[in-house]
Amino acid sequence: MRRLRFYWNLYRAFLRTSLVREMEFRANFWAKMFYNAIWLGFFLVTLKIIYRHTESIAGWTEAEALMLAATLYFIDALIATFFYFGLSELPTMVRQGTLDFVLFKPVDSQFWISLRRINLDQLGSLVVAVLLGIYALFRLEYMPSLLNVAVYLGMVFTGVLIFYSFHFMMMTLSIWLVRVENLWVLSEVFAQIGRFPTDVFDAVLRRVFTYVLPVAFLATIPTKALLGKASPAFLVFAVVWGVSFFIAGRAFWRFALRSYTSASS
Amino acid sequence: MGQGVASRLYLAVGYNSGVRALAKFLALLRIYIEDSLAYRASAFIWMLTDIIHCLVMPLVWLSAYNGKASIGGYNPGEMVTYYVLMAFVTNFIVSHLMWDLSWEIKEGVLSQWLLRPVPVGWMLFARNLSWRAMRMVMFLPMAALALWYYSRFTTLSPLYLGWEFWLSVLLGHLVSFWVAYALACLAFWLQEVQSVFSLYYVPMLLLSGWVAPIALMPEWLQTLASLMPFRYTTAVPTEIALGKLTGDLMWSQIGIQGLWVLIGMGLTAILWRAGLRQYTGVGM
Repeated sequence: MRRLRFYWNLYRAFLRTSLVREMEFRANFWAKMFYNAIWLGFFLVTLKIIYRHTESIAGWTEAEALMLAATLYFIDALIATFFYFGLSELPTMVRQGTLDFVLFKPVDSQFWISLRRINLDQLGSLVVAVLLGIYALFRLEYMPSLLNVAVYLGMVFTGVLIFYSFHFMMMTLSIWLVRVENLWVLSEVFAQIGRFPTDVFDAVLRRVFTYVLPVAFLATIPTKALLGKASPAFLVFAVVWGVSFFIAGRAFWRFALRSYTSASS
Repeated sequence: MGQGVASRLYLAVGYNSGVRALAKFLALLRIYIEDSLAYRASAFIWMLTDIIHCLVMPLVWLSAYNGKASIGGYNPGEMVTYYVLMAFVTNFIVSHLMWDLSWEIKEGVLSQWLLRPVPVGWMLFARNLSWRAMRMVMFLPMAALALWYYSRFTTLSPLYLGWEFWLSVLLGHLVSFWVAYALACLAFWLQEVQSVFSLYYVPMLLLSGWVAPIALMPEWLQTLASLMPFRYTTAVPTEIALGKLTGDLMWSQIGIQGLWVLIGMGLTAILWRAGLRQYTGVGM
């Protein structure tokens, strides 16, 4: 319990320092929101180009695909707000040896590395993603039941857990791959696969992206659950996936630290 | 008679300096190829985005046909081949040199280069060429793998890979190089170039044909594409290889590619000279 309060206070300190940082570059907030909106617009144009020529992709109408996109962007924005920037610094810390200072602290190193930087200028994208989702539901003229919404939100949470853990594992590779500066691209690739319904893949790949590299649990399955096209029982799967990915990420980090030799020594 | 000797002498000097310049360029190329090889792990990771792109997009389209024979003049086989080939030429053509160069301008690394007996433009060209060539060679087995994967459920489009195609690829490489080079010059004036660069990717990815064949886009986007340089980097060679551009139309498009090379060169020369005049070499 005292341990929990300690971490809560630590997180509040992270939040405070992040906020102070943010206030120094207030113009950035609107600029970031603008850029994120542009990139979302870019993806929507891509969708539009495809749906000019067809009614449905693997059974997904345009409005349904929009709902899926909104879900992915929402998860993406959550990751960008709470984890992304802290984790992005890991390769530099490994290269310069400043990771030592983190390991010496009487704090869980994963906690410190993952949560230290809260990027509030990404909050704008969260709003945009929610608005897009609402728009999609209006176009579908669909009112999800309370159960569907609850299952959906649960799956969004496990989606965040899966995506975070994947990103954490990829950044952990920097312990060995010291010279590789673009490990973050690996997580982009992960999201890149999830941007379209995984139903477009053939049977083999679909299984891979459901059971091995669970991209389907980022946006495809949550969206299906919201639209009432997937059984709520999938939530159990989602939770199992989220928890096992989190445990795997943690184990991988511990394992990697055993090979960490510090840059200066 | 005296004039004849003089002109022969002039030719010889010209020839010699030409040879020397070529030797310098080849030496640069060797250095940068070794340099690129040291970063092959990074190159492989970058390539994954291309691989996923030419896995996801064709499958999305294949699920969109719903029994139709063709979409925008592309049958399923052509659509699949389009993306694989597009990714292949993109690896050789599309330059991202502005990220490094703008950093080098800001940090004053440029100052050392200006002192070297080789023009900066050559160094950048050799660096870009060796990185792109390595990326293309690395992508070759991936392209083969992708084509094999798709050949199991669709008939691929026949490819025309004659010299016109390679000429167009080369011109595309030059267009992209000069455009990126010109863009990097903004670092002489702007504090924050990163966000400008990332915005540049929106029209670039869309209008170069990366996202989808330009023929499938709405009329106004097609018009916009014909007015911007991006179509003349990767879309033209890809369309030539697929047999979508032939005869006079193909030659006029290759001509426009040449025009964009000249525009890019001119623009870069102006920006670079103006930029150097106010460059202070901050890092020194």
